[in-house]
This record gives sequence, structure tokens and C-alpha cells, in this order.
Amino acid sequence: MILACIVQGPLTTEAQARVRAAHAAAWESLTFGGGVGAKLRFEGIVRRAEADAEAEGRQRDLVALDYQTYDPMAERGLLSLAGEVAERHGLKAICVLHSRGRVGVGEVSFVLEVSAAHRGETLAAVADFVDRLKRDVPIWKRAVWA
Amino acid sequence: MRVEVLIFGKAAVSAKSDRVAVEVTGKGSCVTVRDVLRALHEQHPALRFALPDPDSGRLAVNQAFAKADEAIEPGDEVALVTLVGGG
Repeated sequence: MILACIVQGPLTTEAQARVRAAHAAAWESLTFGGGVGAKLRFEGIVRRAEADAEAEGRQRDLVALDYQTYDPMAERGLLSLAGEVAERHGLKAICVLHSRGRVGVGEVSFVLEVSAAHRGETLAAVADFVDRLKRDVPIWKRAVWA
Repeated sequence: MRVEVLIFGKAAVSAKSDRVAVEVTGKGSCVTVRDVLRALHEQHPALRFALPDPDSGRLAVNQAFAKADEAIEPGDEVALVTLVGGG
């Protein structure tokens, strides 16, 4: 099963719980069904320091990242990418969440959970998804400098 | 044909706007993604850092990626979606 959602603000425990409750079947499909032998969860967290292109790439502290999404293409892009990655790596299920708007340092802005028969498929799928996310899904991030 | 192009991220910050307009001349009445990208390069040089090559780049047309030869009709929603950096 495939699930892709864009969520306003940071992906706090409460925000993730709300998505799980609204899409329980998709989250449960990550674990149940008998064919699952591996489940992998990846979280993207806002770092304190980022390279500032306008300061010759020097590392600067920030307070948050502001994520801008081109809606509804962004959510459709996540869903389409999730489908392609699931098919290519033979996943049993894939659930992806991405923040829109401001996410503070240390907060989660991206969650990807995948399951498959074996660990190899899940590890490859996560790397593949994150690489292609940056290229194919219209989401931009803007640093809010300290 | 006048085409309005939605812009995001650093391109929007640089232009201090969420859109820019270009006057585009295509072959006959047909305007393509390539024509719009060329017009953006010529008419908005300050955005070149965010503009893809007109022959190999893409735009979003009506919320879907469109390649260089694809046509743009009056009223289409056109967006510059390069330099994506999520996750």
C-alpha cells in the first residue's frame, strides 16, 4: 500500500499520529500481511547549521527551515515517486510525509517508512527515494538564519 | 503570447515576487516550453541561476512536468520547478 501526505508544520509525534489515524490501513500494511521481513524508517531532521550560498558556502546557524510546496503537484509528486520506488524495489508498503511551512531546528520535516520481504530492498528504496525527492518533487526549503 | 510563470524558492526571493511574465514568440501560433525558457533567459537575466537549459530543461504545465517540445496554450498554468531541494 502507498501513502503520501504533505503536513503543515513539523512532523511532531502528534502530527504523525493524526496521519496514522486518518490512514490506518496504509500504516498497518507496513507490518502486517505475512510477506514483510523488514521495515525501515527514515526521518529528515532540520540541522542547526547549513551552508549559506550567499556567504561563499560558509556554515551558518539557523533557527528553522521554511518549506514551500507547489500544491497539489507536490503531494501528487510524492505519491507518484512512492509508487515508482515501490515497484522498482519490490516493496510491500511505503508511507511518506513531508512538511510544509516552518520547521524548527531539531524537528522532523520528512518521514519515510518502507517495508519489504528482505532488508536489502528497504535500504535501497530509502536511498533511491531521497535522491529522487530532491530532483522530482516541487518542494523548496528556505533557511531562516539565526 | 504573454505567459505568466510561477516561481518558487530562491528564484521567488530574487525576483521579490511569486511570478514573472514573458512575451513569447513561437513558430506560428504554437508556443513551446523551449520558447518560454528562452524568453525567461532573455527577459529575466537575473533569474538565470535558476533557469534550466531551454533545450533540455522542463517546466510544469498545468501541474505536470513538460519537456522542451511540449506546447503551452493560453490560460495554461506554467511554473518553474527547477532547483528542487526538499527532504
